[in-house]
Amino acid sequence: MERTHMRRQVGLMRQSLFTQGFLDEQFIQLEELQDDANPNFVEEIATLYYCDSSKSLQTIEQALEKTPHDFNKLDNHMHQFKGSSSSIGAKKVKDECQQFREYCKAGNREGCMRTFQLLKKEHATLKKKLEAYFQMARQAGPLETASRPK
Amino acid sequence: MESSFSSPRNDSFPAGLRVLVVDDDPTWLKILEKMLKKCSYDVTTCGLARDALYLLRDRKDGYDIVISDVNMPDMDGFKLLEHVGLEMDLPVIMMSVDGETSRVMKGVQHGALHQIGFDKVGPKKILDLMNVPWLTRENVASHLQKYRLYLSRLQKENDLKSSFGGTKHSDYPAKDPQGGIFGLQNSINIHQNDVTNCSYRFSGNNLVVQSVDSKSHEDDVKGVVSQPVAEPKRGSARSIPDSQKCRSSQVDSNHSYAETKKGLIGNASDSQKIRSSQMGVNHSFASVESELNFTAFGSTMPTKFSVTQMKQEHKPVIQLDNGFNKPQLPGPQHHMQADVLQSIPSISSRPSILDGETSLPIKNKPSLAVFRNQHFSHVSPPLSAADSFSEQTKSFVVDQGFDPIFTSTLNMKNQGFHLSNLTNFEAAQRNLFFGSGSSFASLDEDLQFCLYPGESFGMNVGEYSDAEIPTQLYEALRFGCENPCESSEYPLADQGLFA
Repeated sequence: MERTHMRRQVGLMRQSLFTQGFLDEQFIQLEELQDDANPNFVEEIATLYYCDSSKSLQTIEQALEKTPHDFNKLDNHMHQFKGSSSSIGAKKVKDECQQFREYCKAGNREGCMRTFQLLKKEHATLKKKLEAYFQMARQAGPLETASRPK
Repeated sequence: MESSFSSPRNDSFPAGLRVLVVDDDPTWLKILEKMLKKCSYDVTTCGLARDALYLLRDRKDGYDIVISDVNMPDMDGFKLLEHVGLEMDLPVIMMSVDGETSRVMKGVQHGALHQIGFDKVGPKKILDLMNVPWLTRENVASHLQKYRLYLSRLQKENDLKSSFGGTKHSDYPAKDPQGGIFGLQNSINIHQNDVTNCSYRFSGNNLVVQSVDSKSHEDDVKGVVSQPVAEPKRGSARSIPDSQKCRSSQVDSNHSYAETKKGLIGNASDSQKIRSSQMGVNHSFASVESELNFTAFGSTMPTKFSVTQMKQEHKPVIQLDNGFNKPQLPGPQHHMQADVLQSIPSISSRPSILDGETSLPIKNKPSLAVFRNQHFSHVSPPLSAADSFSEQTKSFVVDQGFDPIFTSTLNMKNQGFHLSNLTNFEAAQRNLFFGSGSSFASLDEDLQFCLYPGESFGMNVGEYSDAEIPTQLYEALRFGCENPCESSEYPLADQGLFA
C-alpha cells in the first residue's frame, strides 16, 4: 500500500538522520514526549527552535563583524546557541558550536569565522532535512515514534 | 479525557505538584513544560527571571517548586535561586547544559541543595519521568544511593548530641535558605559532653553533592562515618586520603587535616581532638548528604555532621552547638569555620540554637553546603567574620522556625539529619542542583575549613586561612565557591571557640 510504503520511507529517512549524525538521542526524547495531546510535538519544537536560532545566528554574525572580536561575548552567545541546539538534538550543529567555542577560547579569529560558516551550513542543512521529514511523516500518517535507531 | 497522565504511582508520586519553570530559551521551555506535564505536574512557564519572581511573590503559596536555568539574560539563575530561597523558601532545581563544576559549586553556594538522595525517591522519579538528559540521572541515582547510605550510617551514630547544621551559603549573609547547602549540609553533631576540646572543625563538607566525585567521597564518607571517632588521630586517614585525591585543594591544611582530623567522623575521643571537624571527610560526603557524626570533641561527643539541606523549616541543619565552645582547644581559638559550626549540644530541637546561632559566626559563606560558614563564635577570640556569619548563621541555623522535625532529626542522637527528615524536606522544599557535568570544582576556596592541624586535638586549628579548607573537604565539595572564610580564617578555633 502506498501508505505502508510511505511509512517505510519515513522510517528510513528518520533512521538516516541518526546514522548520518544529524540528530542525537535528544530527538528521541522529544519523540517520546509526543502523544495524543500533542501529536505534532516534535515538529513544533523544531519549528520553534529554527525560529529562535535564526535570530541568535544573526546576533552572532553581527558580533563577528565587529572588530576586534570580543571573544568572551562570542563565547557566551555560542554557549547559549549550543544549549538551544541541544534541545532538539542537532548534533552536527552542536559540534560546530563546540568548535567555535574552542576557537574563541584560543582567540583565533580566523578559526571562528570559518567555523561559523560551517555552523550556518549545518544549521541550514538540518532544517531542510527536518522539513522534508516532517512533511513526509504527515503525509504518511501517524508513525510509531520513539523507536530507537538500530 | 482521563488523563493519560494519571500516573500509576499516584500513591507515592507527587502528582499535581505546582511547578514553575524558568528558562530564557523558548524551545527548552516548551520541552520542559511538556515533560513536566507528562509527570502530571501543574506547570507554569516563564521566560524571564523577573517574571518568575513576580509570579512567585504574587502568589506566595502558589508553587511548590521552581526549576530554573542557570544562565539567563536578565538575571543570573543563581540570583533567582537566592531570592526564591530567601523570600519563599521553595526548593529550586537548577539546570545547566554545561554542567561545569564551577557552576555547580556556584549553585550550591547560592543555596542550592542537592537533594538527590531522598528516601522518598521523589526527585529521582521526577528525573526519570522527565528524562532530562542534562540532569545526569546517573548522578542522581548515584547520589541518591550514596545519600541513603550515608544517612543510614548517620543514624547509627546516634550518640552525637549536637548536630550541626551547616548551611552553606557563602553568599548569603542573610538567611541563607537552607537550600544553600548544596548537597549536603552536614550538620555536625557534636556532643557536647566534655567538649573540652572539641574543636570541631567541620569543614564544610557539606558535601556538595554534585554527583561527580562523590564516588571517592563516598568512600570517605563511609569511612568516616564508620569510624567512630576513635582516635582522633588519623583514624580517618581514610577519609583523608580520599579527599585528597579528590581535591587538591590548596590548603595544605589538608595535611593537617588529615592528621588532625581524622577525626572526622569520629568522635574525638580525645578531648582534644576534635576531629569532628575533620569532617573533611565530608568530602566524601559530598555525595552523601548524610550526616556525619563526629565526635570530635575530645570528649566523647561524637560530632555529627548532618547534611541537611533542609531548607524549609529546617533550615540548615547547622546547628552549632554552642556547647562546644567549651572545649579548649589548644590552638588558637578560632571560629570554627567549619560549616558545622554549630553543634547543638544535646540537640534536641534546637531552635534556640539556631537562633542563638547568630552568635556563631559563620564564617564562610556557606559556599558549600558545607559548613563552612560556621564559625563558632563562641570562641572568645573572635574570629573575624564572625559578624558576617552571625548573620549567616542566622540564616541557616537559625532557623527560627526550627522545625521540630528537623531538630529532632538532627539530634536525634544522631545525625542531625535523618532521612526521614529528609523526607520532610523533600516535601518541604529542596533545592536541587543539577548540572550535567556536575563535578565539583575545587571547593577549596570556599571551604573554610576550620581544621587545624591540631596537635592535641584532632582539629587543625588555626591553620586555615581562607579557603583553607582541607582539600579533602573540598574535594567533595568542589565548589567553585568562594572562600567562605574570609577574614577569619581560622577555622575552627579550637575549642577555644567553644569555650
